[in-house]
Amino acid sequence: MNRPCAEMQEHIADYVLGALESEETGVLRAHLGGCANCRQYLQSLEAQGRALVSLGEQVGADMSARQDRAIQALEGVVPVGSRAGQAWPFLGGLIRTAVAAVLILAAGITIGRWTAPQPADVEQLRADLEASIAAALGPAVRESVLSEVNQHLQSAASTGDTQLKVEIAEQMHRDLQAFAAQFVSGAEALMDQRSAELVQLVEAARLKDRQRVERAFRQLELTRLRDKTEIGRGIWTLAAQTTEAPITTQN
Amino acid sequence: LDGRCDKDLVFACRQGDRSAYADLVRRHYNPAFLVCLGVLGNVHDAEDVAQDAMIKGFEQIGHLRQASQFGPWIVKIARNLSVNMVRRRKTMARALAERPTRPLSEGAGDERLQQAVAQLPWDLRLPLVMYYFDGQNVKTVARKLEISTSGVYQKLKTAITELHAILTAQGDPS
Repeated sequence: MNRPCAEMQEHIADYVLGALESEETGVLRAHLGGCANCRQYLQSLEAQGRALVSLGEQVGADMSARQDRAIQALEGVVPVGSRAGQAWPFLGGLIRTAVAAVLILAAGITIGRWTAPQPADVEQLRADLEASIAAALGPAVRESVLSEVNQHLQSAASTGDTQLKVEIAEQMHRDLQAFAAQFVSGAEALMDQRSAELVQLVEAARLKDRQRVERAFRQLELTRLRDKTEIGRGIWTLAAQTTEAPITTQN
Repeated sequence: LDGRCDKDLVFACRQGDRSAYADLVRRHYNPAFLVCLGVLGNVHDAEDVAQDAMIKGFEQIGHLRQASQFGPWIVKIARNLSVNMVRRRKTMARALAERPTRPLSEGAGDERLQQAVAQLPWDLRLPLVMYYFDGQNVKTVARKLEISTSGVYQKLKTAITELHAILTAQGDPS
């Protein structure tokens, strides 16, 4: 096939697509009247277009069967979010974190009791630590979770729009996840702080005990020296008395 | 088909009505399939990916923000999955030997035309398939592909001239 004129090739393609301006269409038609190559190119592009439409029809003939196969493939598929236990996905992680926190706390207490010279201070610390964590986190967590849930449930109940309900549920889901992340982060920070305080207090208790033992040793040494002096004096007294009163031997 | 609008069908589907989703599939499968065909260039891959798109749409139906926009949403899923497959193919083709181009649809019509269409780059083939196979006008193609009307004209023009060049080189002057 001979090539079309280079300056007309794009115009012919535009013409086939119906995108040629009317003025340019007139120019093209005039050119086509006297150029066999461009006429042949136009006819070729038009035939190609018809062949493409025909091919599309043949490909589309089987579409109903393809739809059936796609619908069959959906069997056993479940939409995300409708699975049981997925409404509160962060809870698993929260429980795991809580268990880990309890284990760390228990390990800390055990190590503290094992290493501390005097149990009284550590017991007191443990009680203080537990009370402090419970006081700091418990009510805040309960209140925040209940407040979030109530707020979202009230919003959901007050609307009849299903789309809005879905959006509220999704928003609630996101909010609670964010809250859980903040809570876990806060709990970890508090645990770190309390652990550091515990270590400091245990160290202080050890130091105090060492000082107390040192004082006891010094006191013991002083007592020993005092006793030694007393004994020395007693021996000298006894010796003097023994010299002044000679022992008489009886036959 | 169900007389309900897409929005109602999506809501029904979210309530657990699986037949509502089957209606959505019947309504929107064709454009999704054609997009897959346009990107991938053969019917078998297009059917597999269109099916995957329908499954993914069902799984993610709760994440669709505007229920009335199910059609564009599912077509976009189909297109993304197809483009991902093209990328995987290119990676595999680089790793292995380049395989010969498969015809668009074996046993359907002019095989040389199919081969030629399959040889086009996917970004030219996609508007070509949407325009000629589905009888869509340029404005609709532009809206679905999220490009300008002039951009679609340009791609179509390039596609038909390249297609013609491929066919001419094969000795088919049409």
